[in-house]
Amino acid sequence: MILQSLNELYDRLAEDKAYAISPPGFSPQKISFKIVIRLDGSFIPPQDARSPNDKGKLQNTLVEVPGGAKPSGAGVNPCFLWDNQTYLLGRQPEDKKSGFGIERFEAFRERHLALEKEIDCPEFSAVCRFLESWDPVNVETYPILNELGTGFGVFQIQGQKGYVHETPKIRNWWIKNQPREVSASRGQCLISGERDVEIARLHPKIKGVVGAQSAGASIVSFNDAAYESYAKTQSFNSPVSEDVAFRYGTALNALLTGPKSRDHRIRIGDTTCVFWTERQSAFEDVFADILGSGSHATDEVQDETQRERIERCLKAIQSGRGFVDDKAPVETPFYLLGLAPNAARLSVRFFLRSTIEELLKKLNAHLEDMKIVRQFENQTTKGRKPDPEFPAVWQLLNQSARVSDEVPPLLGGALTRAIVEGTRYPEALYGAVLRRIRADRTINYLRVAIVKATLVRNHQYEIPTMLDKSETTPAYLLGRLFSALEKTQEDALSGLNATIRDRFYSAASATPASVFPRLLRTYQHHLSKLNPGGKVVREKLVQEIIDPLESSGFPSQLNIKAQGLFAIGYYHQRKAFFTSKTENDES
Amino acid sequence: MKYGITLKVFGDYALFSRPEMKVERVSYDVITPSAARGILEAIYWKPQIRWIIDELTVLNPIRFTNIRRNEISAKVAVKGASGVNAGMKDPTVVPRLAVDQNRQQRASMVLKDVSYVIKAHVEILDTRMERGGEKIALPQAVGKHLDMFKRRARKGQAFHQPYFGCREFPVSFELIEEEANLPRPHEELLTDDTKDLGYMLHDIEFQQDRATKKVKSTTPHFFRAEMLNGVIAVPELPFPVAS
Repeated sequence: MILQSLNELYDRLAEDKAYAISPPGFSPQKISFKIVIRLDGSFIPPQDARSPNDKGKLQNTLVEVPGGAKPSGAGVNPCFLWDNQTYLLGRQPEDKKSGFGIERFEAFRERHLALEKEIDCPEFSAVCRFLESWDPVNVETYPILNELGTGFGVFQIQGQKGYVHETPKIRNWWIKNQPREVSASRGQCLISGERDVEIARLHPKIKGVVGAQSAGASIVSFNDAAYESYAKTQSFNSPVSEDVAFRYGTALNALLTGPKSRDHRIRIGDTTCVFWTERQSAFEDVFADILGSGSHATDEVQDETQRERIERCLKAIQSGRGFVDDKAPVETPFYLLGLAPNAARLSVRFFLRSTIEELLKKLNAHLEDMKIVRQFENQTTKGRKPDPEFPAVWQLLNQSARVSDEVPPLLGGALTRAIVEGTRYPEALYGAVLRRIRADRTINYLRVAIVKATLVRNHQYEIPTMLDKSETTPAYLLGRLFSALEKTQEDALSGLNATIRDRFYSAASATPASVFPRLLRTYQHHLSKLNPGGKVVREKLVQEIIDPLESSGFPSQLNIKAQGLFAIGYYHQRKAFFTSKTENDES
Repeated sequence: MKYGITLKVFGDYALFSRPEMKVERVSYDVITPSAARGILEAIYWKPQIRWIIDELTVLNPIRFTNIRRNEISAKVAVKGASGVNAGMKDPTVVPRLAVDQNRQQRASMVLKDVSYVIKAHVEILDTRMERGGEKIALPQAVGKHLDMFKRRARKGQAFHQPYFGCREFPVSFELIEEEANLPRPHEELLTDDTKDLGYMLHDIEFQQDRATKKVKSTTPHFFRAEMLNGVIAVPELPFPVAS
């Protein structure tokens, strides 16, 4: 289904100019300079073809050139009317033995001179005259060439728009005379179902997956004997027609690295996700921002209309109701593909086929399960952003490790899958978050939200979003009690470096019976230091919490689910301490 | 009416590799007819018959998960001085492969909690019960093979442990004999609209050289799988069954 959907997507992308999809036999390449010549072949100093981006940094221009990628390997393999300086001008690379540059320049020249008669076009002849007259020694006289070092270049005729390889006559010749590999195998294509078509021996390389080789990695490849079967070699093991292989590869590459890739690609952990709707839609335009930045997306986006769209979409997620879009109805199919590199190949982490409506529902369910009172609801003085109502996936993942690159690799995919498919959250994430809480004693909004969501969705708990005084589960009450004891200590002794949370949290949440009696004794000392009014209020609160606990006594152990409840109880009570009374009463 | 069998199969995991993604394996959404045939053959098969899958019913919602496994990248050589052929002739030659030198970690996207109902019938290739034996009437031959299958399936017997696409994912099975005991698919699947599952491997056609018995060619065939209320009707095989 994955390749099939990409194959269908190709038509949509090919029609849309913004995706800059190349027809078969051409590919977009990053061009950094152009050699401008006159029609008689005489030479004008080379020119920079880069242009500054919005940060003012010079960037290469994407130009559609004949041929696929630059052939790899150590051999001599010139391209057609474009290449790097070694081939175009005979530049000698510093780390290669002498003659390296000349040899390649000559191969480039021979290839073009040999074609001059056949192509028979004045522009092409001009390039040939130039190649005949050029002496590689001249490279040194143009300092700009040194600056551009390893970039690719193309030819242009002075006074003409466009490049030499874009001349219709040359282009037509190229299309007609492409070196076509005659496939050794014919059969039924497993994507289109067509019978008796030429089967691709090799599949296109997919570029732009984070962590994979920069030259690209393959989704379909059989690079070792163990993967082959039925006496078939290479990609004959998976019969896909040449045409379809090109189409799915081009479509996927356009999503990953094309000019619109920003709208189609996001990274979650080590997984690179691409997504698309069957036709162009406003939802597709905002999905990357929403999954990538959560509700902070509205602060980060500069573009007014885009921000408006994001807000509209966030509202739709919150209400769980439809997202009105004049371009695409809510039944429009939506696809999400997660790819991760694995040993020079790409592995599929998840693939989702859904509709916009369905996905909005799933996101809404996720939001509901996660919903818990926020720790920082407003911008604080320290410039801290308020807690997001809709956290981004990476924000959640980061809670499972000390630093973001320690997040377990499979977790990103598993969490994303749970969110977009509405299935159980990965239990590993829950465990990891509890471990982090015990290790660094930080019980923040995101962590508690994950704990709550997992308990609600995976274990059918009913957990309120904010403090619930009628809740009598021991673990929840113990969490509240612990929070009250800590607050009393803080009120009694100001300016402490380490509170009882730092010393006792992990023990209190796992083995309450061994810790709480001791904590209650110290609590009496702290209590005596409070002002009379505060003392009464606190004593009333602690009494209220302890009352339902007393009958059974402190449990000697709390299991992993109860530890989550403990954290939630702690968080709720702590949040209540820092929320003003009036607000509390209103709710 | 075809005489056939109905078998419920279920297990914790399954991996029906798509041919295009069988290195970093990705499973088809549902069981393929050839995988179902493999399960039946594990329970009962003889050279005189071929199992033909008629219908597959998906009982559980389609759920995926990811795993990584350490595997090897090489195969034991068949030819050569230390290959399998040499080992067959001379018992002192032991074909071997150094696992630690051929390690490869491979990721798989597998199905979890699967449960299917397979409806199938047998095609009789040879009405004799054994070589050189007497021919018997076709209905009798069919009945005999089906009865043998049913007896074995009731007792849980199998020639080898049937599995869902990969040896690591064993199949539990249960013969369904009464129409009334037929399980219903999960509500999620009963949507009354056709779900397109794309092209799916139907089966592989083998062509054998009559004289040498060697396999001349292997051709995969694909069919467009469509699921309606959990049921996938499997079309007829596009190649002759009897050789």
